[in-house]
Amino acid sequence: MDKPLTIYGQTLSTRLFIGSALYPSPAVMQQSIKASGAEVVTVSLRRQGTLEAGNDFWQLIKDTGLKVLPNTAGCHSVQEAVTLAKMCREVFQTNWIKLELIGDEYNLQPDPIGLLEATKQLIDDGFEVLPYCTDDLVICQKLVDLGCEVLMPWGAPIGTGKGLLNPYALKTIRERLPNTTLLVDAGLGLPSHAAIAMEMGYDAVLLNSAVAQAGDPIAMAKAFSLAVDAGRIAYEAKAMPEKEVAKPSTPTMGMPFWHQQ
Amino acid sequence: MNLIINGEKRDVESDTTLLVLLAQLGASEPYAVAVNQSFVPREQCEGIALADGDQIEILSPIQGG
Repeated sequence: MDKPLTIYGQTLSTRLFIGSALYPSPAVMQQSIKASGAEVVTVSLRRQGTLEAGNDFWQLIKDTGLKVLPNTAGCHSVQEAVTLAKMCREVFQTNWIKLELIGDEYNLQPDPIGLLEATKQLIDDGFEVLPYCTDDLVICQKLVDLGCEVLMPWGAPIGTGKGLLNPYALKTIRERLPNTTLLVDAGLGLPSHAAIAMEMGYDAVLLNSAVAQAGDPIAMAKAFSLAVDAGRIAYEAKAMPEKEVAKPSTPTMGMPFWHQQ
Repeated sequence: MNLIINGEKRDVESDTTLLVLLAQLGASEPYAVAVNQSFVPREQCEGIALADGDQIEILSPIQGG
C-alpha cells in the first residue's frame, strides 16, 4: 500500500496542491478547488484596499475547509520575503510558508542565493519552509541541510504551462534526495506533465494557472487529479525497463506462415 | 508628520502610535502590519511610536499560486 504523503508531520491523502489565483470567478475557483480533490490551497497577502484583498476572499477559502499554504510571491529581497512570511503566519495561523523569492523579472526564476538566506532566517524563527526553487541539485541539497523537509523545484517558469523542461535535473534531485518530500511547483500545463512528475517519484505537484486558465477550469481540475493519481500508482507499480530493441509481446511460438516462403 | 501607508502619503498627527493609526484607518480583519519592512506583531502595535517618513504596510489575504 502506498505510503501517505506527509508535509512537516501532517498527513495528506491527496498529492495535488492547488492555487487560488487567476480563476474567472470566485465560484469557479471554489468549484475547481473542490474538483481537484486538493487538501492544500495556496494564498497570499496584498495591500488592504486593493481590489481583491480582504475578508470576502478569505471567507471563501475558509469555507473550503482546506489547509492553507501562504506564499511570499513577488518578493525580490530576503527582507521582503522574511517580513511577508511573518505577516502570513500571523494572518493565516500556520508555520507553513511557500517561500518564493524572485531573482529575475523575465522568467520569475527563484533567486537561489537569497533563498538560502531567507530559508535559514525563517527556519531559525520556527517556520516550516516549502521553498520554491530551481532544479539545481546543489541548491536543493543546501536547502535540505538548512532543515527543509520539503522542496518545490520548478518544472518550468511560473505560468508558462511548458511542463517539465529539465527532466534529467528533476530525476537527479529525486535520486539524490530520497528522504526529502519533493513537489514539482510551477510551469505545468497539462495533466500529462503532472503524471510524468509523479511517475518520476515526485511526492506531489503544486499548480494553479494550468487549472485556472483552462477553458473549463473545473473539468481540468478533475483531469489533473486523475493524472496525479495515475502517475503515483504508476510510480508505485514500477515501470518496465526501457529497451533499444523491439521485442514482440505476442508469442512467436506457433505463428502460422512463419518462415515458410 | 507624513507617513507612507500602503504606498500612499498621508499626514497624521505627531505622536500617533501604530495602534491608533490602525483604528483611524479603519483597518479591517484579517490583516497584518509591517513598519519600514519589518513585521510588527499585533500585540506590539500599541507600543509602536511612529516617526515622520515611516512606511506602513497593512496586508490582507488575497489569491495566490
